[in-house]
Amino acid sequence: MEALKTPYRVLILDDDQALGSMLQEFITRTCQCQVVYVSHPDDLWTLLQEQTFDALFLDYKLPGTNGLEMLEALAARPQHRLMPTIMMTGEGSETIAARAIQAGALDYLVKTDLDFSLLPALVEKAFQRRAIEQAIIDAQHKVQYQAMLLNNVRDAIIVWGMDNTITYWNQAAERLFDIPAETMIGKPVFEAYFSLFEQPPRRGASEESVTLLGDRRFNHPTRGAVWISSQISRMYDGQNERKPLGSMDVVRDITLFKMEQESLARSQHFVRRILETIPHIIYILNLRERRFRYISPKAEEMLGLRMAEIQETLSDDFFSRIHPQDVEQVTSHYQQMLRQPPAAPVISEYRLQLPSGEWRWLRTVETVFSYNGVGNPVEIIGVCEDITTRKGMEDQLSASQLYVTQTARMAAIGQLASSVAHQISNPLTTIIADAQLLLRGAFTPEETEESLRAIQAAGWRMQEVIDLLMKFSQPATNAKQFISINATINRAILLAGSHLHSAQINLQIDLSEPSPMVEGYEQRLVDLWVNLLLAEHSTDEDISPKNIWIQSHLAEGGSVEVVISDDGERIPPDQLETIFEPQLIPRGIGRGNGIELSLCREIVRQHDGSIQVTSEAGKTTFRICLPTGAEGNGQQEDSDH
Amino acid sequence: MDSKKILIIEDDDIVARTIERCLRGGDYRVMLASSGVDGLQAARRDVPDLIILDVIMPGMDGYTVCKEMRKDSLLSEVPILFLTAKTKDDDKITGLAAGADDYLGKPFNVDELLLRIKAILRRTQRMKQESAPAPVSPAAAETASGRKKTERIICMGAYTLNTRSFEFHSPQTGTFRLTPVQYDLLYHLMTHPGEIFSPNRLLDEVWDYPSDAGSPDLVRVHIKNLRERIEVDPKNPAFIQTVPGYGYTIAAQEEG
Repeated sequence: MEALKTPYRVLILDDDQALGSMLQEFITRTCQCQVVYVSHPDDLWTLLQEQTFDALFLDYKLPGTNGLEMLEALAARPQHRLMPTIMMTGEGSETIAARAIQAGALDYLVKTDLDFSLLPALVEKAFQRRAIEQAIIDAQHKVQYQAMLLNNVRDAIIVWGMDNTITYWNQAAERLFDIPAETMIGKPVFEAYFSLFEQPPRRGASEESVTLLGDRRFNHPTRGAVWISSQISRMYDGQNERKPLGSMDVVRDITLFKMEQESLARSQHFVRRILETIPHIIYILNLRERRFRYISPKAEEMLGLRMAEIQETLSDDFFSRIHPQDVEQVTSHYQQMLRQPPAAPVISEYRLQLPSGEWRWLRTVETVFSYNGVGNPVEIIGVCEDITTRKGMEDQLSASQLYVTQTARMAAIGQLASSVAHQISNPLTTIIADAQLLLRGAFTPEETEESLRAIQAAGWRMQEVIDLLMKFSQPATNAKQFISINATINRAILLAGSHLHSAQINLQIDLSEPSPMVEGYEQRLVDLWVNLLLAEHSTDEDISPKNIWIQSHLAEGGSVEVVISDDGERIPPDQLETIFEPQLIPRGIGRGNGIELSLCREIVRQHDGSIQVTSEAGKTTFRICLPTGAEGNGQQEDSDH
Repeated sequence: MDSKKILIIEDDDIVARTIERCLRGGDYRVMLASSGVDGLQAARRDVPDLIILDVIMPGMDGYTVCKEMRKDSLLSEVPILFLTAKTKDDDKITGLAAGADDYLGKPFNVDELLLRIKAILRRTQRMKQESAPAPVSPAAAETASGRKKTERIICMGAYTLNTRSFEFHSPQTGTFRLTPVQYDLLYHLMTHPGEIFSPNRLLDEVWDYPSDAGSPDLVRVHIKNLRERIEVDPKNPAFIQTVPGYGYTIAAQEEG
C-alpha cells in the first residue's frame, strides 16, 4: 500500500549512456515517476542494497555479464524477485527475448527498433504487475497471519459448513480433544464431534442464528472427565451478510474452573453446615459501629432472635436485652477489648431477655476478628452458648455442695467423737475396774500401788487425748508472725529426738540456709513437725523405719516446702486415701493414734498450706507446702471447702 | 480341778494388766498377748479354757482372730469373750457371728466380767462332762455301739442335732457344725420341745448367768445368727419360733 502513495520508481541499467539518459528523461516526463539510471551492473547491486524499485529496464549486453545472468541473480534475492523487469536487446535477438521472458522478465524491447511511444504503456504494465504482486503478497501474509492467530488461540475452534461437514479444527482443538485435525476435517460434525459429549447439543443447534452458550462434558482418553464451555455461532459471508457459510464452535477447557467451583460449593456448603450444626451461636460484631456483621442461624433457633433484624439494626437493641445487673459488666468487657486487644479468648457470662420475655444465661468466648489500619481492633468473633440449664444445675450443685460439706463436717465430727471415745474407753476401763478392785480391799500393798499407778497413768492418758483434742479445735487467738521455719523444725527435733533415739531411728536433717521464713503460728508448726516425726515411729521393730529425713527449702512460687520421709513400711493405698481423717483404729504401722494426722492437716490448713503423702516400698514421704507471706488466718477453716 | 487358763488378747497394755488384776483373786492362770497374731500363736501353743479378745487392734482385728480360731480344730471350741468399746448392735452381731460366745463393753464392771467368765467356764465344763463318757477320738467313736450312737442324735422332725459331733442338720440349709454356744442354745431348746423360753430364762439356763449379769440382747443376737444359718427365710422362721411377749420355742414335731 505504501507504493501507491509514493511515486513509482524505475531503475535503468544500460552501458549505452546516451540511450540510458534519453530513456531516463523520457520515462520521467511521460510516466511521472522517479527514474534512476546506472550504466554498470556494480552500481545496480550497490543501489539495490539500499533501495527498492517498481520496474527495471535491463540491458542485455552488459560489461562482464549479461541481462539473463542478472535476471537469475535478481531472482535469487527475495526482496527483488518480484521487481518487474523489461529486457532490452539488440536487433534479431528473439531467442534471448524468449529466454528472458522464461526467466521471469515482464517484457522485452528491441533497442534497434525502439518506439518511444510504446514506453508509457509498458511502464504502466510493469507498475500494475508490481501492484498485483504486492497485493498477492499482502494477502498471503494476511492469510498466514490469520491462520497463525487461529492456531495460537487458547480456545479450540471448530468450524463446519452448511452441509455439517467439519472444515476447520485448530491446534488447540487437537490438544483439547486429543484428535488430530486430519481425522476430523471432512467428517460430519454431529457424528464425529458432538457425539463426543455426554449431552450433545441438539441437532438443529447450528441452524439457529443465535449464539449458543453452554457447558458440556466429555471423557478425555487420558484426563478423564473434562468440562468445556462452548459458544456456537453462525458464520456469514463477508460480502453478503445474510448468507450463512456455516457454524463455529469456540471451546474452552473449564475443568479446573469447574473443579474449583465444585470445591468452593462444597466448602461453602461445609461451612454453612458447620455454622448451622454447631450447637452454639457464632457471630462477628463490629465494636466500633456496634453492629453485628454476622450471626449464625442458631441465634434464631436458640434465642428466637430474628437474624435479619439483628444484622441490619444497630446492636443497641441487642444490648438493651441484657440483664440490668450484667449490662455494666458486658459494656466494660467490650470497652476493655477495644482499649487493649486480648491475647487470649475472653469469656463472659450474662443474662439476656428473649423476645418471649424469658431470661437466658449466655456464655460467650470472644477474640479479635479484624483490626483497622492502625492496628486497633474493629471486629470481634465470638461463640455464644446457652448455659441456662448449666447455671441452674450449678446453683443446685453449690447448694448440695454446701449440704455435702456440712454433712462431711458432721461426719468428721462423728468420726472424731468415735475416735476420742475409743481413745478414752481404754484408760476409763482401767480407772473404773481398778477402782472397783481397790474398793474390795483384797490387794496386797504392792498390788494396791500397782493398781493406783495404773489409774494415774490412765488419767494422764486421758488428759493427753483431751490436750490433742483442744489443739484440734482451738481457734487462733494471736496473730501470725514471721518465723523461721528451721527454728520450728529444730525445736520439734529437740522434743521428738529422744523418742526417735530410743527407737533406734536415725534422723537425717537437711535444712536450707538461710532459713525460709513463713507467716504463721510458731507453736503449731512445732506441733506439726513433732506429730509428723513421731507418726513415723512404730513400736514394731521389724517395720519401724531405720531412717527419717527432714528437709526444708524454698519451693517454686515462693512457698516453703518441708519434706519428711522415712524408709519404714509402706502405707497401703486404701489407707493413704483416708490417712488425714480421724481414725477409729490406730493404723497399726505406727502412723499415730488416729488423730495426729488429722491435727497435722488442720495446722497446715490454718497456714493456708497443703500436705500430701506418698508411699511406696521403702519410702513414705510427707510433703508440706506453706505460703511465705500469705495473709491467711486460722479462722478461715469454714470457708476453706 | 486344775486352774483355768485364760488368754487375754489386748493391744493396750494398761487394759490388759487391769484385766489381769481382775482375775487375780480367782483360780486362773492368765496369759497376755498384745496382738492378734501373737494371741493366735499363744493359743495354739497352749490351748486356753477361755479367750478374752479385744475387738479393735492394729493389724489383725478381733473379728479376724475369732474367725481364725473357729477354723482351727484345736481352738474351734474354746469360748471367746469379746471386749469392745463399740457397743452398737452391728458390732455385737459381727462378733457373735464370727463365733464368739459373749461380749462385754468397755469400760466394764469387774463383777460382771467375773460372772461371765465363771458362767462360760461352767458351761464348757458341763459340755465336757456330757461328752466325757463317749470316746473322744473319731477312731474310738467307730467302735462305739450303734445303740449308743443313735441315742446321741436328737431329732425334731427333719431337723437333727448330733450331740457328739455338734453338727446340726436342717433340711433347708444342710449340715453344719455349731459353735459351742449355738449348740448349747439349740440343745436346750430341742430337749424341751413346746416349751417357751424367755431371754432371761435362757440366760439363766443356757448361759448360767445370774439375773443381773448378761443382757437379753445376747440371746436375741444368738437366735438371730442361728436363724440365719438354719432358716430359708430368717424373717419368717420355721424352726425356732418367736412367741411375741414371751420368748422362743421349738414346736413339738409330729412323728413321720
